[in-house]
Amino acid sequence: MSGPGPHNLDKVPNQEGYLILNDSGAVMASSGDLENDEATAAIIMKMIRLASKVNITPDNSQSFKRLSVIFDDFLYIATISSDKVYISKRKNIPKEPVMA
Amino acid sequence: MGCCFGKDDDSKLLDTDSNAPLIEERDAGYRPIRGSDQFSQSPNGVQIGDQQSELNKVLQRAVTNVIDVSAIDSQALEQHEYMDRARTYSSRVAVVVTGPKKPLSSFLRLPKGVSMPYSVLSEEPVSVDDINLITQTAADAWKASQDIQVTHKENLVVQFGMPQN
Repeated sequence: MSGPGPHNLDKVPNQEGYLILNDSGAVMASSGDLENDEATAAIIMKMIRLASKVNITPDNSQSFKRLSVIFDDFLYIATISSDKVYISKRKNIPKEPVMA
Repeated sequence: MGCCFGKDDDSKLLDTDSNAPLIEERDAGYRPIRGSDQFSQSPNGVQIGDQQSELNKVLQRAVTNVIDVSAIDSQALEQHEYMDRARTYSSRVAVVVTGPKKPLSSFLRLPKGVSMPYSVLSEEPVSVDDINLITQTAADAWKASQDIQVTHKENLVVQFGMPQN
């Protein structure tokens, strides 16, 4: 399924699948593990909406940039751009030993 | 129009010339356009076409008679009235089109977000140290909230207006 416009989401490193949702949570594009995965889309959309309500700054001028849902083997990373929600499922490769 | 053949000889001789030519011409393949019996007799291509066009004319007449009655008003609209209505309708359409966005925004409007979703999603995941820090802090906060206790200092129930013995 091709996405709306060039998003390059299939080039995210260690990716196992992605989802693009519109602002009402409907799947606009999907790929890999997340192909047409509306259940995951609905869950992450709820988390996105909840996270949007959290006031990060007192004047509420900023919102979160990235939402990470981390499991042992993989992680979901979600972000918002122009009223669309981009979700990427990536392998979880801890970098700590290398960084240290 | 169909005539009685028993009286054929007499009619040919005595009657007006209206019957005789019709019979002869019918044999020659010509059909009179008018006549109630033309639908039931001797169908060939030309005649069916004629019938069809005649039927269409009748239908057209009926359609114009019936439908124009209600449509006369709108057809008689003046130009400026027409423009006024067009403006009214387009403004109402604009209201309807922009309307459904309100429930969405009341539901919850998504924040503006980032301009380049790819770069955000491609960045390194949150480090394990950060996760541990948040987890530990949350656990500590929860434990601290569990330790909150109310110490009893005075009576919570105070009686008003009761004579105290």
